[in-house]
Amino acid sequence: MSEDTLALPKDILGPTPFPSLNTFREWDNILLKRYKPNYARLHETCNLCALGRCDFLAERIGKCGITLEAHQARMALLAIVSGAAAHASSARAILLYTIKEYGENRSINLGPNVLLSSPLIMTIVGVRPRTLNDLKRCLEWVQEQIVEVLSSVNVGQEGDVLDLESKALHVGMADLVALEIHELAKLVSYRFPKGEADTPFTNIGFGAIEGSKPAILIIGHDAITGIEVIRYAEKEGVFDSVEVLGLCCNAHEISRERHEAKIIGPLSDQLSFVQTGMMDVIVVDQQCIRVDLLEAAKKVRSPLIATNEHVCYGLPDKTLVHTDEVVKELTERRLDGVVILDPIKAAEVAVKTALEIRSKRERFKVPKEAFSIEFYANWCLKCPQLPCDNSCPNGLKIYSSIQAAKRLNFSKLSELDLMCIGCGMCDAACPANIPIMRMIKYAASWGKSKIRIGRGPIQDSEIREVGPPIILGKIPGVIGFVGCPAFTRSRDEIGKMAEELLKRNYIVVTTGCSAMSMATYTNDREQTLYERFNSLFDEGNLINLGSCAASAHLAGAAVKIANILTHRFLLGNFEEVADYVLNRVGACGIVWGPMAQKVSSTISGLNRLGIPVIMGPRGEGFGRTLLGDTEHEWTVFDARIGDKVYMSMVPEHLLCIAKDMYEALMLTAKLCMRPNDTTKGRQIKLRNYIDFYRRYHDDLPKDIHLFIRTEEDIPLNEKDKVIEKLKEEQWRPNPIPDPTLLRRLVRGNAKIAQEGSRQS
Amino acid sequence: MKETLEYFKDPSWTKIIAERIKDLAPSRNLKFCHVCGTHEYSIFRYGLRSFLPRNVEVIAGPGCPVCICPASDIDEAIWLTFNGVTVVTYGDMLRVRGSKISLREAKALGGEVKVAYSISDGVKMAESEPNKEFVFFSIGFETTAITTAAAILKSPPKNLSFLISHRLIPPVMELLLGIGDLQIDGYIAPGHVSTIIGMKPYEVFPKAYRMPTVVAGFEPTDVLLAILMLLKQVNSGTPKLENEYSRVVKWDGNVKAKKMIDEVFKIVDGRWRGLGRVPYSALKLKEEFLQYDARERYEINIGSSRDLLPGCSCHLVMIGKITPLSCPLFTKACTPEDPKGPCMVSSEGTCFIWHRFHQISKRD
Repeated sequence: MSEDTLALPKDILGPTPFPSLNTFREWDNILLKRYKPNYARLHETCNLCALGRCDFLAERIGKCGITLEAHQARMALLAIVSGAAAHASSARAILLYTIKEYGENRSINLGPNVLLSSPLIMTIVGVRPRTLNDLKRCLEWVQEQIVEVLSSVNVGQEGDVLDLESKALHVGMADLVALEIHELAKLVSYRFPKGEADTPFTNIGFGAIEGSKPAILIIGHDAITGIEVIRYAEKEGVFDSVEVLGLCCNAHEISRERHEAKIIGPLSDQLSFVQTGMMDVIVVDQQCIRVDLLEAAKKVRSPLIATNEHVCYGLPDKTLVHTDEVVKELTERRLDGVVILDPIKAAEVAVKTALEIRSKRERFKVPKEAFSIEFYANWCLKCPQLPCDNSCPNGLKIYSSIQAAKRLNFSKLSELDLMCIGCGMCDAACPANIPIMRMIKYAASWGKSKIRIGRGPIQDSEIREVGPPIILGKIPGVIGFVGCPAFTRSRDEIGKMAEELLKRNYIVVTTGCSAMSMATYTNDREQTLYERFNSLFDEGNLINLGSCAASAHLAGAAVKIANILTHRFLLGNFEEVADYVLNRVGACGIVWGPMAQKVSSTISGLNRLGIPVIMGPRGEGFGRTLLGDTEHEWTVFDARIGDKVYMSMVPEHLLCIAKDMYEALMLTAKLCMRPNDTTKGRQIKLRNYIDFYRRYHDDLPKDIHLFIRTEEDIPLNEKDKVIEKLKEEQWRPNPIPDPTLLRRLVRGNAKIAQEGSRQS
Repeated sequence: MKETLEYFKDPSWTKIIAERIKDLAPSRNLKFCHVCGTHEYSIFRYGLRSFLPRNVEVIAGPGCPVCICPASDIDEAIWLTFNGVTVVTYGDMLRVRGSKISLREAKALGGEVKVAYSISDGVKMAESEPNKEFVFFSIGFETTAITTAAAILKSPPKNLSFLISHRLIPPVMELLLGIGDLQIDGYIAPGHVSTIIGMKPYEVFPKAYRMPTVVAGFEPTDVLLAILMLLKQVNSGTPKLENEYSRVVKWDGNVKAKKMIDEVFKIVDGRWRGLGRVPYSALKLKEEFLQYDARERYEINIGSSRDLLPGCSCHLVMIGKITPLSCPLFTKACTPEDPKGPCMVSSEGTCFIWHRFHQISKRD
């Protein structure tokens, strides 16, 4: 591996520093005309203002004049902006805390291998942040955009579908900046890996818990308190005497700080794990925390410490009370939990409480072998309406599994575990109060497996190394698995998809709960994908970037390709970089279990940057897709001559939904195609598409002719059949252009681009 | 043959072709790319750019074998010199830096390095000192790969092995079109390489990319004629593959040479300095010849490598993204006497050529 250093160009400021709502309206229009918004009409009534309730089916328009379609766009925007707000809030929390702890002049330096440390901030905001204080400026910009976009959702504001969509893309872009700020603040302040590929492994799964030591569970996203818990335990010399475990993104964060910290699992394991009572103390900060967590914790006498103003659970604020007194109140069960807004103090309380309370709550810990599934199965009233089955959003056959458990056959319950999303609806629906989720979890294996800890950014030299194979198609694409574990089918699917893609030389990167879910998929030798595949940013490698916020590194890698490979300058030059990514970088996101609004916000940012995203079946919940169709004129400017030329229908969609993993794989192969693919590259991508398509059908894909530009694109092993198909479709060859969607990048108009390369 | 060569050097013909180029040049900007150090040398030596209209630009692609040789391969050669092996290579390779030092510096530090003009020199050296281990550091494109293949097929002495660093030109030409932002309007394909591989590997460029492509020789008239042929193609809007160097290059190339290369080598991915790993662009000895592969014979351990020094823009010069004049180090920190980047080392390196002829033009 080369460690060559990127020659830092002299900073040249592009045309769009600190963009406002409409700065990229033209770019959005280009995208949205090709990828038309489609809505599922989830919101047929509107109650947003006092003029309503408006029923769009009865009245066709709202009382403010908004159309049904625009209202759908507005509601989608609302979800996206709230997601961006959550990420910005999280970034703000970590940034302000690290500035308080380390000073605002702390340098943004990720070492010689990551000189291009803030590609998204540079491209979008037009600033090269050198200190934490610089990040503050960037965060202020993010916050401004969120306020501005949110205000446009108000009644009597924006009502045009495309403009609402443009704002959704804008706030998604701001979301990417928030994620990068979040990551940078952590990377320069904590002991996280800074792009090193060969990160150590840690254990993941319910089986990872030893059970013999006081255990502290960290849930949430901020990383702050979790890391303070580790630091306090280290300072007091008790790190080896306690177990620090994480759930959801905080699990990634604590393992990035100390790989001995363990990961329990993704968000879907939250409730069922707390119900086991194995935790002596639970620490939460913000986001992706179940609102009924306190109730579950109470039942097993696990004290809960809330450490963020966003999630207080109605608990008393003990921030100013002496630590020992709080510990006493918690260990003596005078309080179920407390709010402590000082992370260092919260960490001290958590560790001390865990050490003291452990002996007192031994009876509330229910290890796997101590739970009697058949005992609870016998409570079943055999309700004729099957409320358990009907309440399950995944349609799991709970009733029959409980009946089988009565007969001591637990395998059916065990099978449900991989498909359970941990929502707890079955528990709530059961009139006999059977703890169904616990039964499922206890019936399943409590194994542990291996996951690589998050590595953070992609090194500059790695980008240079893989640039040519990506362009020449040896690496058919860079696939990012991000998002929540709200899968409609088995959580194994995400691992199976990744395995298929890895075997075909795709680079697979993953973050957050997707990274954890992937670790539950093992082969017959019990090895996870992390153990089987290397972790370089290279062909057939699997990279865990870290928490959800680390998705910024996925988008950042696409931006880096534009800069490192062709020296397209970044600073304040978003449109030209996005144009490069959309037309040349075969990257694609898979959000297999979209749940939180935050994911929709990140998706929106990726879309504006030119990275298509495939959602799993649950993506229907967002009610919005951006789909291409054959009616659109699929043309680009040929940058050499300025003519508008046909460039084949790629990438076909910007945001779409796959109904199952096979369709997702098929779409992945298609959405990694780019107009500038070399002939060899397109051959490989088409071969993958044909192979994935054949999982469904025996024949060639019906739309194959839409992706073939010249005969040289046709995979050699399919040449005869494809040519026959092309004849049927009266296909005509089209040369491969030097594609751009921006007229100003056509030679002769490209003053800025030329200026940039000359000066750099 | 002598008469023919003179014909191609005849200034009166050069002037006529240059006039025709001016007549045919369209009003829009055009950029033609060659991928051969010798072409760049000819263009500068004969001042051919001065014959071209201002809107017709000829840029140099990655055609210098010394420049594109990755630092890791040089590091391997240096490792060998420090581990009791005599490294034999071409003169230009001595001055190119690996990650830290060059072979010349390695020699100064006690490593054993010898210069050869051809591979047969290396064979003779090995034969004359049978008790010493020799490694021939074999670099270059298809043109030198054939000499290596021929030497290996002749069963060289047992104390000689080969550190193979051969690269193939067509894959990197396709890469340049995929990278984007270069906006190339036509390719001047390298005459030497084409002598071996023929014309067929370039067929894809006019067919799939509408890229006019002309295989050209190295005399001034050759190069200008190639540009004229490219202009005609651009104007007619019918890109095709043409052969200006027909006195040497045949459609099928050198069939015997190609067969020998196929017999000895297999095609693998290869690293190009500053460009990264280019798929299917390098040669590796086939299984039956692995006994001659220095990487198999010695357990070379070099760790990580560094292709470019901070500030060096060779990777951009090599793909024709910038000219050497845009590099901040050019003629200041980086000179032929003290080269910082590989392009300033070889007589075929773009920076070296620009430096040499710019100094001459300054003196004039």
